[in-house]
Amino acid sequence: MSAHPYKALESKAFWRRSVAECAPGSVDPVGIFDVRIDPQTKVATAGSCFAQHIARYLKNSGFAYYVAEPGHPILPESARARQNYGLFSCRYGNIYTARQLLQLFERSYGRFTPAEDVWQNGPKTFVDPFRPTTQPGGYVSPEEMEADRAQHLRAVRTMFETLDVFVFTLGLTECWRSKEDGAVFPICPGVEGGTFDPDRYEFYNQPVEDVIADLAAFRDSLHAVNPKAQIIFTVSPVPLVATAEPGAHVLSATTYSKSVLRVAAEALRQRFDNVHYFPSYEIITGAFNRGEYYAPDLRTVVEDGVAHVMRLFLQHATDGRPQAQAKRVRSEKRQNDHLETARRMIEVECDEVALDRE
Amino acid sequence: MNAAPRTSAIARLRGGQKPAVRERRILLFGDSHAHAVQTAITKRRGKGQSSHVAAYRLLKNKKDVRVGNSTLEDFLALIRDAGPEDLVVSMIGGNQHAVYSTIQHPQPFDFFNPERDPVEAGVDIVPFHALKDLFARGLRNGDVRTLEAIRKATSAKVVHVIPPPPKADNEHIAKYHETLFAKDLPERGVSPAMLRLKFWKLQTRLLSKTCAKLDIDILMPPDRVIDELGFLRPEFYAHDATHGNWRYGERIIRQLEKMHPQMPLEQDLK
Repeated sequence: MSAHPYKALESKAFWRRSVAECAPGSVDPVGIFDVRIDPQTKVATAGSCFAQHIARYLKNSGFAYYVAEPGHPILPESARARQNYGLFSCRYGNIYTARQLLQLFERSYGRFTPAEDVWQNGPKTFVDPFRPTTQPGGYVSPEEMEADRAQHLRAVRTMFETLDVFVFTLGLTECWRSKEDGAVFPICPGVEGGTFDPDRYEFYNQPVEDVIADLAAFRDSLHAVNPKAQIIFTVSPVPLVATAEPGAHVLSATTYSKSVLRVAAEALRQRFDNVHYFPSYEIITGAFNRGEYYAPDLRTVVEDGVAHVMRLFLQHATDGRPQAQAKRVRSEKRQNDHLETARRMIEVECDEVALDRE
Repeated sequence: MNAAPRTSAIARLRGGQKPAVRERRILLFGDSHAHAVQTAITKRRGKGQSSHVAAYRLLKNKKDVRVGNSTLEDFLALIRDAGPEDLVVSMIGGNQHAVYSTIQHPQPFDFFNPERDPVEAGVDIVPFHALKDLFARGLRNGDVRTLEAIRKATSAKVVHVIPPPPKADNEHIAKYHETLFAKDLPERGVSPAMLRLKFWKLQTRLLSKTCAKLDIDILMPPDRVIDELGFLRPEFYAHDATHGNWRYGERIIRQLEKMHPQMPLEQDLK
């Protein structure tokens, strides 16, 4: 039998050995992935809803999950969590598309200011069109929204300039954009705020060349402000909830969207040394798990699936020695000291009033 | 205990006959802010004046110091026989706003509010709804439970007295905190007065909403005790950071007496 290139390949190159005959929980589709994360590495996250799982696991694993916009310490941690602080590294909410990511970068450096400024959802409820679900209850005035947005964009700049690893989960190609200046929205205007107007907004389903161009532009911009930054792209395995592509079926539209994102991620990985791909999409959608990683709605990823993804992520990216937990707890204690002191002071005062020191 | 006399003046005038009526009672229960009212009642008595407000303060024992004169349970038992002709007044809680806004936070902050009060430049902004959520939860787990218990215990009309607004004078607050925190205040400083006022307004907004749901009226601080910006006037300061003095308590009593004037109930009982 003659020699041929396949003879020298590792088991992972063969379907039977690495997929069909493996126990589902042991399938490891990670290819080349040479990012290293240690407990000091500042890992930032952004992306679609699946990215929230990555953030959660990094936090709970004791690695230095980097939150550049943690919220003010006057709010206890549980209160900040309810306000979506810490859900991602900054309070930008879900970033579904490559264009949205690039736009965030441009906005944070003042290179693009969308004409669409504020949405009003009620007499005293204002919403940021570019993160309409981030602030529960909205804002009480346009001024509050603008101040919070300015603070947010400052934190975004800090994050980009100081992170070590940026994990971005690509979610969609479909989005809605302003006809006026091309600004894209995370959610179709009129759904979570604003009013849909076909004269002002248009559907935009990103073709693969646009996604690649946007991601490359983002990569270059990030590299310019932070040359050491590594980027990990993943593709969200969560299907589209609906498609606006004329005449399309949502299943086919999902396949299109995810395929484009997967191709773009690979194109970027091949083009740039600091860009990596992690196959969370393959782990969840692979036929080896026989659909077990989806809930009955066939969209929601169940905890077993997330655990599989994150086990492999930590296995490949770390040496398994998370140590940051204790440090994080100490830091939180310091933050809570002020409130405790203030509470004790007022309590003492409330008791002392009986002594009537007038 | 500053309990109101249960025998009516009308009965006494009738030469000791069994009273056909009893007075309309005002039964007040609170935490530290009730002290101003209790002191005002004592001052009235010292001058030979009467009040038909009976004020009780929540009994607490802290570090061998006993403050207050009634448990909540005792007060609830007291108001069970109060009827629609009586008035039950709550002065419970009230200082949550001060916890968040008296000592300067090491990381200064401010927030926008629906009243559009000024916002300090160059400090962190905390979203209004984040603070509202925090306060609402704090109230739900504390004052609201007490208010619910009071409402449930009586068929009398219930009124909640909004705590006094903050004091504008930072020096007063720094000066009259000489005890346990003498060290902390000079080091950290006192928060800006406007921040204190905004937290008080936030708390007032939430308490008003809660009380409306519980069919409890609210009593805002009397106009006379508030300055043009909304702060407590200095002549009503107690010698501490947050409380009103007996003059403030007297103003509350007058408000209550005006709202619920003393009159015989003969007509009602016919």
